[in-house]
Amino acid sequence: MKHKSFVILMLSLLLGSLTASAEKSMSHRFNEAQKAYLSKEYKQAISLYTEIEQAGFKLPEVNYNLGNAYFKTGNLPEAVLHYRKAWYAAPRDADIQTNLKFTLNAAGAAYPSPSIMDHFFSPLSKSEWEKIALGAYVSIFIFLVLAQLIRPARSLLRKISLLPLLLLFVAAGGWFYWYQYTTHPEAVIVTTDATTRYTPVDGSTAHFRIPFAAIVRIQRANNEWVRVEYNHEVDWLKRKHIKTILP
Amino acid sequence: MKDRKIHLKPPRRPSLLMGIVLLLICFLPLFGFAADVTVSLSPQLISFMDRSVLKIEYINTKGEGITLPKIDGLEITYQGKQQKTILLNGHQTSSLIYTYIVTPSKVGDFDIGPILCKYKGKTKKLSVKLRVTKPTNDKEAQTLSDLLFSKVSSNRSAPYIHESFTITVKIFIRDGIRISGSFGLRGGMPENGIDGDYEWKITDRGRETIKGKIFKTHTLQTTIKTLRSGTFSFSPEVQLYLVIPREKRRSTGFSDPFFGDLFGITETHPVTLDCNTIKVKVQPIPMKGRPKSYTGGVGVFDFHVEIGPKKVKAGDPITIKTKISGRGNLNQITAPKISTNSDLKWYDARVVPSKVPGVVCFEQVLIPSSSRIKEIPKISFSYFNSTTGDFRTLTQGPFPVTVEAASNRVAQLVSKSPTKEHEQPKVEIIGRDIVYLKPAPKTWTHPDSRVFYKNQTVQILLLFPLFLLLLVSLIMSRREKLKTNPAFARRQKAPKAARKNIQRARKALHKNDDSAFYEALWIALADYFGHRLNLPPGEITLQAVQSRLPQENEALELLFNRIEQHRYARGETSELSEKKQLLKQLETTLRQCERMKL
Repeated sequence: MKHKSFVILMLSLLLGSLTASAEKSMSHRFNEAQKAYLSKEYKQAISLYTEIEQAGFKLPEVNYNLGNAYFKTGNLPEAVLHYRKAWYAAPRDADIQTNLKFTLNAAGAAYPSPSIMDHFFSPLSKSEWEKIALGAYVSIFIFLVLAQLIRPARSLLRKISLLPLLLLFVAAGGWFYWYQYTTHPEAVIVTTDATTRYTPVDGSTAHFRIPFAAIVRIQRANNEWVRVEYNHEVDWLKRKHIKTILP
Repeated sequence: MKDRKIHLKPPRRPSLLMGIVLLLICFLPLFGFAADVTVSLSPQLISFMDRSVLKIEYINTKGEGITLPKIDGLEITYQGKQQKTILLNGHQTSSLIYTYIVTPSKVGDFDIGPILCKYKGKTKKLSVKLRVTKPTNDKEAQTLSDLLFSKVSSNRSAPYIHESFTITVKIFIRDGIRISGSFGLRGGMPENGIDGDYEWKITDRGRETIKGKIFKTHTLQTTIKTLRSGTFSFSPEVQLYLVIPREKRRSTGFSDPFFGDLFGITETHPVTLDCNTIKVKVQPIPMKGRPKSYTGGVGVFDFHVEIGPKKVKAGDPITIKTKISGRGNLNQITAPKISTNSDLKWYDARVVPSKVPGVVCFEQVLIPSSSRIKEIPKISFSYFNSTTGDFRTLTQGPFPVTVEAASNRVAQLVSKSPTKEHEQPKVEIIGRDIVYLKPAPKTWTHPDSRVFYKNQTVQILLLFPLFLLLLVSLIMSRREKLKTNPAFARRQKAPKAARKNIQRARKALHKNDDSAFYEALWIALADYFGHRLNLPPGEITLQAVQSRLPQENEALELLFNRIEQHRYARGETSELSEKKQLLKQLETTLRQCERMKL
C-alpha cells in the first residue's frame, strides 16, 4: 500500500515538473520572439510565435503578436487572420481591435460591420459564455435545493431561481453565437483578384470584387466554391482565394 | 365323329420388355432431354430500314446473356429475356431465351459471330448470317443516313455568357418514308453550364430538294443561355419511329418485340438520326470598361424610373420604381445601385412581380431625413450589350423633390436611426502604426486546461446538482407526508414496533419468564396491527384484523387465541418447544401480513 502511494506521488511530481518545464520553455520562446521582433527580425519572430501556437498555446497574446509580426513583413492576410483569432479569444481587447482595424484599413478592406447580435454577444468570448452558463446551471439547483429545505422561503427562492434560468438561456445564445463561427467560419482573402461570381461555375459572370486581406463570412460551400458574404453582399468565390479563420 | 378337344390359350402375361417400355414412358420426362444452345435470326434478309430479331436459346440448361460483338453497319441492342416451358406428349422442355434487336445502317452481308455460349461447363461457338438490301422505294440509297438525317445550327457562333441564342435542329426525311408520332431528343446536348432546361418547339415543316431528291423537313428550335463561358458542343441525337410496311401478318403475333401493328400491316421501330456537331464558343463579360453601376445584365434593355410622392415631410418614405425591359437575362439582373448621402436613408430593393414578359421591376424605399434634400440623385443602370459587345449605361434623373421639415419628434427619430454601413463603407484612418506587442501571458497553462468544465469528470459531476435536487425533494416530500398523513406515519412504524417486541419475547423465552413472553407477543401483535391498520388501542381485536387481512384468517385466529389464552391463564406453564413454535408462527404471520397490500 505504501509502495503504491509512493509511485503515485512520484508520478505526480514528474508530471508537475514536466508541465513546469513546458511552461518555462514556452515562456523562453515567447521572450526570444519578442527580442527578434524588437531587433526587426520579423521572420524569426513569426517562426517562434508559430512554434508556440502549434504547441497548442493558442493564446490571444501569441496570436496578437504573431499578427503584428506578419503586419511588419507586409503579409496583411496572415496579420488579419491572427488578429481575428486573437479577437475570438479576447473580444474586449482594445489593442486587438485597433490593430485589426488598422490592418484592414491599410489593405483597403472594410471592417466587418457588427449586427445587433454581434453587439449583444461578442463582448464575451465563447469560454466566458460557457462559464456563465455553468454558473447559472449550478445556481438554479442551489436555489431549488434551498427552496426544498427552507419551507417558509420556498416560493421566493423558486422565483429567484428563474433569474439564473434566464441567464442560462442568454448564455446558451452567446455560446451558439460563437458556435456559428465554427459552422459558418470567417475567412480572409489571400489573393488580389478575388472576384465573386453569380454562379459557382468557372467563367460565370463576375459580381463584385473583394479587397485583399478582407474578412468574409462563409455561408456555404459547394466543392471548390464557397458562398461568401462581404459588406452585406453575397456570392460565390473560389476556395483558392480564401484562408479560413478557425477559432 | 371324334370329339375335338378345344385347347384354350392361357391369358398372356405382360412381358418384361413391355414393362421396361412403360417405365421409360413414365419416367423419361423426369430425366429430361439433353442440354443445348441455339442461335436464330429472323428474318435473315432485310432492307436497311428494317430490323431483325436475334435469339439465343438455352434448352434445358441455364446460361448468361451475351454481349455480342460489334459489327460495322449493325447496331445490336439487348431487348430482354424470357423463360418458356413446353410439355408435349409427356416430354417437358424448358428454354431460356435472350432476345436482341439487330438494326442495320447500310447494305451488305454480315456475319454475326462468333457468339460464345457457355453452359454446363462447355462453350459453344455459334454464328448467324444477315443480308441487308436496299429499300424497295429507293435503289440508290446505300445507308440509312441517305434517307434520314438531321442538321444542327446556331444563330450565334460566339455569344456572350447569359446571352440568349438559338439552337436549330432540322430533320430531313426522304419523301415516301413514313414516321410515326413525334420526335424525341435523346442527348448530345451539353448538360452542365446551361441555364434551365431545353424547351424544344417545332417552328417549321416543309419540303426541300437535295441532289434531286425530295425530303420532308421538320425544324425544331430551342433558346438557351449559358451560365459560364467556354466552348459548348452540340450534336443532338434525334430519335423517331419509322413505319415499316408488312406484306403479311407476322406469325409471332403479340410476342413480337417490334411492337408490331395489331393487324400485321405495319410495324414501327426507333431510329436515331445522324447529325453534325457544332461548337459554340461562349465569351465572358469583359472586366475592362465595366461601369460601377453594372448589375449583371446581358442583352439589350430599356430603363425607366418613377418616383413618388415628390412632396414629402422629412422622415416620410419616397418610393423609387425602376422598370427594366428588353431582351436578355432579366431574371439575373439585380436592382440598380443608387448613390446615397447621409441625408437619405435607403432600404433594400425588392423585386416586384411583373405579369408582362420581358420586364423586371424593382421597388426601393428611401427616407429623406432633412429638408435640405432638393432632389433624388440620378439613377444609372448599366448592362452589357451583347449585339455591339460593349457596356451601355442608361441614366434617369435627378428627380426634384420637395422635403418639408418634419415635426421635432419625427426628425429626431430619423436622425437617430443608424445608416447602413454597407451603403457607404467608410475607410477610417486609425493612428499611424499598429499598437505595440503584448507582454507574455501571466500563466502558461494550456488553453484547454484552463477550461476546467471540459474535463470529463467535471461533466459527470454536473449531474450531481440534479441528483441532489431529486434526493432532497424525495426526502422533503416524505417528511411532509409523515407529518400530514398519520396513517402513513403509523404504517411506517409497524414493522419496527413488531421487531422490538419480538426481541423482548426472545429475551423472556431465554429467561423462561412465561408471563413476560406472552405479554411481549401480545404487544408485538397489537402494536403491529394497530400501526399497520391505523387502529386505536381499544379496537385491536381478532375480528377487526381479520376483516382487513382475510387471507391470513386461520393463522391470525390461532395466534390471537393462543396468546390470549396463555396471557390470562396465570400459573400455567408452557413447554419451551410450544413457545418457540408460537414465536416462529408470529414472525411468519407478521412477515406475510407485511407483504400484503391493503
